[in-house]
Amino acid sequence: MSLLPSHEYSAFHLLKAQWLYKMKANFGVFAGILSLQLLLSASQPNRSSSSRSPLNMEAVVASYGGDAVLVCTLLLVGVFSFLMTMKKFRYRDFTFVTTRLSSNLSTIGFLLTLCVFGGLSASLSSMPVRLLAYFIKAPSSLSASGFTVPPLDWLTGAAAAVLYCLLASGVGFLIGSFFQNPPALLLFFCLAVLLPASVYWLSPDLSLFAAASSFLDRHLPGFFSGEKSLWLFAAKTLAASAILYAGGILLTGRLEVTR
Amino acid sequence: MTSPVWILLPLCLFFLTTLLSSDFTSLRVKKWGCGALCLLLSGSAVLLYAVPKDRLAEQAPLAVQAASASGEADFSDLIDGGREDSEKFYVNGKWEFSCTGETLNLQISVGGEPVYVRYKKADDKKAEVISCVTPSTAGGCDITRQIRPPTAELSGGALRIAPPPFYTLEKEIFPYDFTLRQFCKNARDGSSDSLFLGSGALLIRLPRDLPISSNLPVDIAYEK
Repeated sequence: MSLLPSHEYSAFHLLKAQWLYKMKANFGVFAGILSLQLLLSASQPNRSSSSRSPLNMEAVVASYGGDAVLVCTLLLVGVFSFLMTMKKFRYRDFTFVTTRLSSNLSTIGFLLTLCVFGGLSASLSSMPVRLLAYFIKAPSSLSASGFTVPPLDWLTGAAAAVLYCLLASGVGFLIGSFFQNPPALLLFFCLAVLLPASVYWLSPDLSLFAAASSFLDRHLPGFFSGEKSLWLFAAKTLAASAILYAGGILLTGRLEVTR
Repeated sequence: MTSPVWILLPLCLFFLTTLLSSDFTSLRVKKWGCGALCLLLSGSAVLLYAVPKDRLAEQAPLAVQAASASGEADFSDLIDGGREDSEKFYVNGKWEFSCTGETLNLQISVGGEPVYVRYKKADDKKAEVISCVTPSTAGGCDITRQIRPPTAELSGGALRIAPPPFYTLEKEIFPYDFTLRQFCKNARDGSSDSLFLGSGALLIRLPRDLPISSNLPVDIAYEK
């Protein structure tokens, strides 16, 4: 009996098989995210009220915003990306003919699919609740502003949501990869936490440290959220995600099979 | 009052979330569930664009929003000028009664709001009650015209002015998501859940020199 394979598989076919396998194995995540987004939307509206006793009235403003859904989606995507690097998920890959690289790439492919799905569904999740409000509330009590979003604006918002999901996923994937590689985690902890903390402790007035922390304070929070051009934002998030995913691949690329 | 829909719907969706994300649920059920939810989302989006929106509440003009936010109450146009059409307030109730008695007993139970009593220039045997409110906005929409006036009635020489029965005004707003606010210049962050309730005032115009008694201390002046 020959031990040689009857035919060779290309890397693309292997990746596709692994991606499909991961899609089927983790399909519950898609359904779970979707129903959770709807659940969060339906748990709204957020109510704020004020009353005026001489007029004997109470005014209530109910807000049907989608921010909570988006933030929860980002958290879910980030946490799931982190979990995808854990042993439970990685060991499944070794039922296939695979390498660390193909395993990581198929995982990233799956996460990208999850991000696109999560971002689009998060942008749509408030629609059923708005429609329900339209039919069960008096039309005059509904504000026309923001009730429907122009299609082009909606597409912009959905694209931004997908890009934010990519970023959250990249962060989760990199952090998870660090946890799979204890020496790298230790090194990262020393470089990113202990070193700056000790420098600050030794000399809080060190001009370099002060300048660096001031620069980060000024520019880091607004680097993504302060960007007003979608194309620049896309370039920034895609580049940052690529770096984060590449970092994750590098960290786990040389692990042994059962580690 | 919160509609039962807003209580039942999250409960149903919670069970759906648990069911669809459970490892014990078959892939087939998950696919059907996911497909149905996707259909629900996209169908709702299409329907939302299709439903008529002409009866929805428009945003109040910026001047009205600014006036309600400032909280200023200036009724001088009505009290001293006799003008009922002013941007500073809205007349939401007006009554006229025939005063044939020798005296008038004012029974005012609308506490906390200013009450102005004025003698008319002539003794026309008519008493007038005018209720007005300053602009109020909820979520950027003008709700001034929905504020109910007090009730006023004259019986047996007593003019009774009482607040309306307690009621609730609801306004549903739909703020844009932060992803939209970041990139769309015309995305109003607003539709904010801000609520500015104006104040009200009562003007009681009486026939000249009609003697009155009142349950509240009132200052009477002659109209200019």
